[in-house]
Amino acid sequence: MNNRRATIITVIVTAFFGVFFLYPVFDILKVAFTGDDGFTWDYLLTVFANPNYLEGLWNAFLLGTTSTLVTFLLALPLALAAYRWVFPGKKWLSILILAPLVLPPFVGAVGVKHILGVEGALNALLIDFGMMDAAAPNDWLGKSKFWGVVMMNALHLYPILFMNVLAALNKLDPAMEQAAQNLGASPWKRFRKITMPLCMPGIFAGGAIVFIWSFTELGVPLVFDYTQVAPVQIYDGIKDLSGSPTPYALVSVMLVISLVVFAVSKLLLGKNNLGTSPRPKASYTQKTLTGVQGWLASGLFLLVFVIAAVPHFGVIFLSVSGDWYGTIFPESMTMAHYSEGLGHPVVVGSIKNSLIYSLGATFLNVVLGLAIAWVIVRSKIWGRNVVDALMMLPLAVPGLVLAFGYRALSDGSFSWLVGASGDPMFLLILAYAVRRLPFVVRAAVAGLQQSDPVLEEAAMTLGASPKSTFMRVGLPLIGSSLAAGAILAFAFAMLEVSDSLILAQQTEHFPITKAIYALLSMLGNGHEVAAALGVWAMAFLAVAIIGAFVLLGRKGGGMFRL
Amino acid sequence: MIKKFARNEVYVFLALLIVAVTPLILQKGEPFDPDDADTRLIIMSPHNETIRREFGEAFSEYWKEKTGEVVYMDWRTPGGTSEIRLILDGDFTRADERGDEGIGVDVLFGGGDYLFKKMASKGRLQKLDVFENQKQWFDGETGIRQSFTGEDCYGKDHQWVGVCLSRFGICYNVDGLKRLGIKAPENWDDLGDPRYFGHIALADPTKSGSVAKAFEMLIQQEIHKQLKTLSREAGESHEHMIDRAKSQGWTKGFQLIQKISANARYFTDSASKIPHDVAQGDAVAGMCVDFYGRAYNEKLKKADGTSRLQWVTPAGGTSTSVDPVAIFRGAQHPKIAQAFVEFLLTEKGQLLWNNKPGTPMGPKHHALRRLPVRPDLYTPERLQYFSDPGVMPYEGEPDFVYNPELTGELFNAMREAIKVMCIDTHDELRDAWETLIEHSDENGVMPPRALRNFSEVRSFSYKKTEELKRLLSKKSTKKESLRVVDKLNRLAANFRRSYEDSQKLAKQNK
Repeated sequence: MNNRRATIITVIVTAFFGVFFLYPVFDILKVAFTGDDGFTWDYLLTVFANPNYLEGLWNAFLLGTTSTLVTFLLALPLALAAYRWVFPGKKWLSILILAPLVLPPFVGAVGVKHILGVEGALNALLIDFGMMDAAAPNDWLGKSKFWGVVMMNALHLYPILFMNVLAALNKLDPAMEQAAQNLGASPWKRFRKITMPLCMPGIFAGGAIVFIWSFTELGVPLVFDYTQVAPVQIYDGIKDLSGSPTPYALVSVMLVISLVVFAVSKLLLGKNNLGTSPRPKASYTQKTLTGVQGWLASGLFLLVFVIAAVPHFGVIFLSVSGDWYGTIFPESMTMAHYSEGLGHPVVVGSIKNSLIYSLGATFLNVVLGLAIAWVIVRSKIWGRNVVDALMMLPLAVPGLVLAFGYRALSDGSFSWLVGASGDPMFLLILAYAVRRLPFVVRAAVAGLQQSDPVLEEAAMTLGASPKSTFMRVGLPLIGSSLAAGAILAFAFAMLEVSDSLILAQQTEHFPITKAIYALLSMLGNGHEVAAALGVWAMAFLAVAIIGAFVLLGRKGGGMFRL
Repeated sequence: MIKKFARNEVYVFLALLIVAVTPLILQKGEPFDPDDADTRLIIMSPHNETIRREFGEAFSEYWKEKTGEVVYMDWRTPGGTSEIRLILDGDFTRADERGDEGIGVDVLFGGGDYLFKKMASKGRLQKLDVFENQKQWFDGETGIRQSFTGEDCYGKDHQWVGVCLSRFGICYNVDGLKRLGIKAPENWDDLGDPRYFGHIALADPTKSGSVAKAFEMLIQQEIHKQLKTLSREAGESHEHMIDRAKSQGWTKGFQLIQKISANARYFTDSASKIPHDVAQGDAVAGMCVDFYGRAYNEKLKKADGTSRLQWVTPAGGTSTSVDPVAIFRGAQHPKIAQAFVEFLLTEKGQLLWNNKPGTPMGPKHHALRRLPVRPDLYTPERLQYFSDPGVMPYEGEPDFVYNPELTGELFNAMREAIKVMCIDTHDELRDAWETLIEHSDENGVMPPRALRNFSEVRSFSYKKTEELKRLLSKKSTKKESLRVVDKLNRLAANFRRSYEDSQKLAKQNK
């Protein structure tokens, strides 16, 4: 790729990013650095002088690292098993374990509380089996909040790592492993010396997202009332009636920590020391596990699915429950919540809105993500690593901060974005796109790093135009990585909460998440009715994702070779 | 191969179609297209969906009948009171910078009188016509009073008016109490019982104005108690005695808040979470507003008439306050906005709050369980349709009258103080309290020195809180606001240390 084109792309994407991410964020964050007489470090210093904030930052960091580690322990064996073996029910199990992708997070939290509550299903089960004293039920959510948050993070985020690692594994040239095997390397040594290093870009891509996500996660700690953690302190501080600028200073500290962790880990992990390998000539021959071995592998997948789907089960049961209290299953069942929830006047419009917003954002993400990944991997222009790090920033900015930034943006110099009728469509598409851009960029970068530029050069040498080289060679090679990123971006855009809550103000523009949120506040049976709509959203996303797999699976080698 | 691909595509398409079409089939009534409306009314509100839907539909019908126009109710619901305040502050600042009169929103509906007083004091509201047009609603014994149980029912300059009543109280879970072996709570004091350790649900008073108000009433009750029991000492003036009562009651109130907080399972940011968690058994008792308590009580009522969630008014410890409505300055649709405010005070608008669904003038879908503000509507022929005919807010002498002169000035300083004393230091507070409980003797008497140390709230005595108030009010420059943060940090560090000391002392049974 010549440098001129790379520069043009970089300028366009950076300009977009600058206007729609950096500008609104800095506009909000400047509060943290403006004193009575202009610029000041004072607020930042207050953050470090406040033992509460320091503890909050430390806890957030611990949550980030522990969650990433647990996510890794969960996702890596699954990805390796899916890559190496064929076992009973593999096709469906590999899709089932992506279940966390379809759950609106706050609806899931409502479901979890019915399972893990003092009078929840788990305690009821333990009491029934005589493993717990009915007079002293355990308060799972009240105690050990830290591990509760880690567990929820890991169960929610492992698909990101799983998809990234599997995409990376599928692009390995089996010849490398075979060569190692021929030279007498043990399976463990082969894994350590060949497989792991070769799919490091994939591991890094997923790991960086998981870390920054759980480091800045707000919703899960809120559900567990774990308040001594920086994102919750920021959220509380912004909502605080005193209007102090310190929470914004804390946001900037989190941004810097995220950037540093990203840069350091990229330096240590992101390099693929073995270089890019050419497109594998043969795909890995999977071993078919039979008998006990096969069932063990299926069992592993099933177990992860069942644990990860605990919130889903909670939501499903809640949506049909008359009352669910102190029993394993709801005491009485009813379909009334479905008729009330799905029949509510706000629902149909919100589904249409959500689809427009999410598809728009995904399209924007794929175009921008691909362009920028191309620059990062293929070009030699100065500063491309800075661009790479910049693209991760949206993950580190709390949704609430960005949402208020956009609000100020649309009220000020960018009022044309909302138009006279106050329709936030463009605003929400942009907000969703910016927030999910890291997924697509990471996926595309990982894809490009693993595909060999020699193939594109060959096409060019044979006279193909840059456009047809890209369309016929480059894109198909990274298609599966890009599709994985796009699916994640779409699913998470459909489930986006904070932007939607602040930016979609009028009922006619509500996306589905805000409709669910509105139903949640219904007096009396709000939780059940919201759960019913949540089940619908889960079903829709599940069909959409499985559909994408089925359709993509046909094209060139399959997405994850299911 | 191609066949299989085509078949897959068909399956995927069919599945998507089925899921997508379900809501269309279940949809009740025609979806409303705002473009079909003749006009719209833009309302910002923290009210829940149930209230919004009932009032939206009722007012649309009222307006259609009155003028023949179809009005589109454009609700803006960014969240709770604190989100609304944030949005309004931002929008008005920008509007001022641009030189605009308004912010494109017509009405503010709900959020507690504190929010409305703030908005009025910043000049963001306009005068309501209803006071001129319907003078009889504000007249005499049966009219809406200016003040009830010490709380304002409308703004003195007629910029806001309360439309329904609510009071704060205690909700509790009957099963949970049985498990802990505690009798039902009757007043705020009961929540400080150490047997509640880890089982009380509270909200952060710096996030929620209504919860802060409940804490303030708890303190006022302690001051009232002192006023009743104290007698003038030799040579002491009446004013001095009142000051003494204020200061002693204040300290007792703070000590009680400290104990209740030590029992707290959490401090949530959303007050509506409390009754839900108590109903689900995650907490045993909590502070909660009446209509939530009544709604959950009703929802969980069994065939035999019992319900696991109960709600009580703490004896002598709570006032009745209003939830208001107001019109923003520069409203785009002032005529409809004035009509909406008037509608809320008509008989129909008032009875919606408490009539059972389906009764004349009652709500269509769900009971709202709140109480009308107009005293003249509590008549036997109307009460027969009420969901809560037994609750007669205007009957008898109120057992508590809020006196803003006692604590009102210190309202903001009080919430900051509670945050420092109980929320920022919650881990240490809980640990110390737990150790004190563990080291109590068989009669439940805690190690005396440790307890004394634990209950030391001198840093937030009435006098010191007045100082804090002065400091807070000087926060106009950023340097001063930093000084406040610094001061609060130091106070928190002191409390943290003191709780740790109490824990050590308790371990030594001192």
